[in-house]
Amino acid sequence: MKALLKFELYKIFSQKSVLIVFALILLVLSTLTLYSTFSSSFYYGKQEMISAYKQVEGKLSKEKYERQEQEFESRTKKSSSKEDLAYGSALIETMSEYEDIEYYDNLISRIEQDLTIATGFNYESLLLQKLMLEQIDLNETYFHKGPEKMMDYVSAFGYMITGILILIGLSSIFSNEDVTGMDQLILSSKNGRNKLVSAKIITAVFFVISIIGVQLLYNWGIYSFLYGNDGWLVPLQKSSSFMLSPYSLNLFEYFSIQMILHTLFSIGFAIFVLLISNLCKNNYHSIIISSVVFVAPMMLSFFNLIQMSNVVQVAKFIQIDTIIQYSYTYLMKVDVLFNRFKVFNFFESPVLGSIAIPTVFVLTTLFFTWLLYRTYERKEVI
Amino acid sequence: MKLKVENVSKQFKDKLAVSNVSFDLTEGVYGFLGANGAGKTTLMRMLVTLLKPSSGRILFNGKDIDVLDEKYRDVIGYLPQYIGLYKNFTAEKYLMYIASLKGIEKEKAMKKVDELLEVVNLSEHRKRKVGKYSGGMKQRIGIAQALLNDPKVLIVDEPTAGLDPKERIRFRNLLSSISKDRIVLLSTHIVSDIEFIAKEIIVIKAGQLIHKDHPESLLDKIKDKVWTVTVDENEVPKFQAAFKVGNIVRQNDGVGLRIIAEDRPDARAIQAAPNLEDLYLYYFDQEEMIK
Repeated sequence: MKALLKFELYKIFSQKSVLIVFALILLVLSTLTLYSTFSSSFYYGKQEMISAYKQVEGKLSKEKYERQEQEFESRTKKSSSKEDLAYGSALIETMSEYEDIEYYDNLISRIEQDLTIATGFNYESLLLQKLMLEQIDLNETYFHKGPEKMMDYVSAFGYMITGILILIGLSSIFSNEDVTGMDQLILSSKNGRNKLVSAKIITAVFFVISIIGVQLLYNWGIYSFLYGNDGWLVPLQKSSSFMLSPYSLNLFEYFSIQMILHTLFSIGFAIFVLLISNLCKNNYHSIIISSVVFVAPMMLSFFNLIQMSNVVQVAKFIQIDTIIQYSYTYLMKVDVLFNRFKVFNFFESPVLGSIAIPTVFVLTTLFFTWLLYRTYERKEVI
Repeated sequence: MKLKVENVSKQFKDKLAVSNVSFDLTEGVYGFLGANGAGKTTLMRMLVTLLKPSSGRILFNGKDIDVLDEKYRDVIGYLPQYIGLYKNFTAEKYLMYIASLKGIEKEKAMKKVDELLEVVNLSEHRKRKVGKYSGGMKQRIGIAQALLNDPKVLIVDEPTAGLDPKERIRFRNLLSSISKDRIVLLSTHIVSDIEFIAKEIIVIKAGQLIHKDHPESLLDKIKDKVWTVTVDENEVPKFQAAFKVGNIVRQNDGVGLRIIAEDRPDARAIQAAPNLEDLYLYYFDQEEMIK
């Protein structure tokens, strides 16, 4: 098994196309990120931004908010040095963070009102939401641009890069055996059925972990360079994408969960790609089918966004939102599970989407894995 | 050791490729004769578990190979008609990969690879990528991979295609030498490959088993059906149209024809001792041979 695994890894990692595409993507992404950051009027330099934030971070209070508001008005009138601009930006951000506290307080009050009339599942859901929101403490703020950007990377680029590399690297993992005629030798050999499937699955998992690992290093490297590495302990809600999130997590906790779930969903997608590859006798068919599954949710989302009337009609008919929301593509972003309160009705009890969806996903992936073993075990060479 | 094929049939959609075939194989070399499309490859693929019979079963030492699963696959070696290769693998790496598929431990595999590369005369080319091998070299590496696990059951489909005469003789002798304690089933169109080494010949036609017997017994069945005759050159088409004509040899006094016919084809014809080529011609139409 060890030797078989070694060869399967060699077969995957010796594909020059994967390495070239990966290197090119990271190169282009680095160029675009660095260019857009340095040319942005909102980037004032790492040290300048950290120093500016140092002056405003800490406990948020009404007095501090009012003082900051006055300071901001007087400061913006007289100067526009880089440090002043950075300070102004930090002030705006902390002021808006103070407003978020009010929003959460209002939200909790509203839920308390709704609870008086709600019954059954609705009541349980609202109660859960209230309990979760009460756990969140937004009263302090710290500079957290680096961690925030690292989190955004996964939902903006990471899922797509991982998906593309899975498609390129793994689409032909089984179908290529048919194309080369190796299937005859493989399927008639002792370890050529179940053990080979195990070896290919482990290889696929290793491949996924490797590409995510490289991206993690890249992500950490580039955003630490641009924004530093401070702020991991601020609440998740301080990140603009998670303003409405009910989860009491800090950025480090969320980022850890995000990476674990991103890896889990990517492995699930890889298993799906393996299954398709096993069912196809042609590398092109395999990559096309898997690519359609990966790209279709993005296309549907795009059509939905631009409101193409006829497409929207079809989209409504086929429950486009459901498809998009629970597709591999969007689940690999992970943020959709945590950015708002979402529960499922499980025998009148609310189950959080962040628990229910990964659970169903794992069960689906286990089914696909079983199907992969089953179809390969019964595979015939005609 | 016994490999038993019991009432095996294989249906592909509307085509019955193999129809209710039964035979037993024990230690020794078996020649598998049949025209293209006769069902040889389908039957061989069932014997190496690449296909499952639509009905019937195959037993190895009394146990269903489907139940034995990898225990059975552990004792078989298979060389398909068209060998699959990873073009960017060197011969050595390719054989080591096959060894890992066959579950052979690394140390043992390395020794076996050295030994087999020597046997198939590819030691000097072990570091070359197999994608750059000639047809004959690919066939030799295919033979080596089939022998990696010292198979108890060796099934080879057209193994000598692409080999030069010297390599063919070498391969034939190799098969003969290893067949003492194993079952070797060899399918070929080149009847001389099996003429001297086959313990029995299995003849299959249109998916059905026609004969399975010792070569001498099979030849005995056609002993009065092979004729030679020397004719004028302009008579050749007439004989070709009317009879199954084997060898055509230009001679000083005309053209020598070897004819397979139930009755004397011509008053000048004399009976000849049959060989396996005649047997092949007797059972298979010339059109089938040309296909």
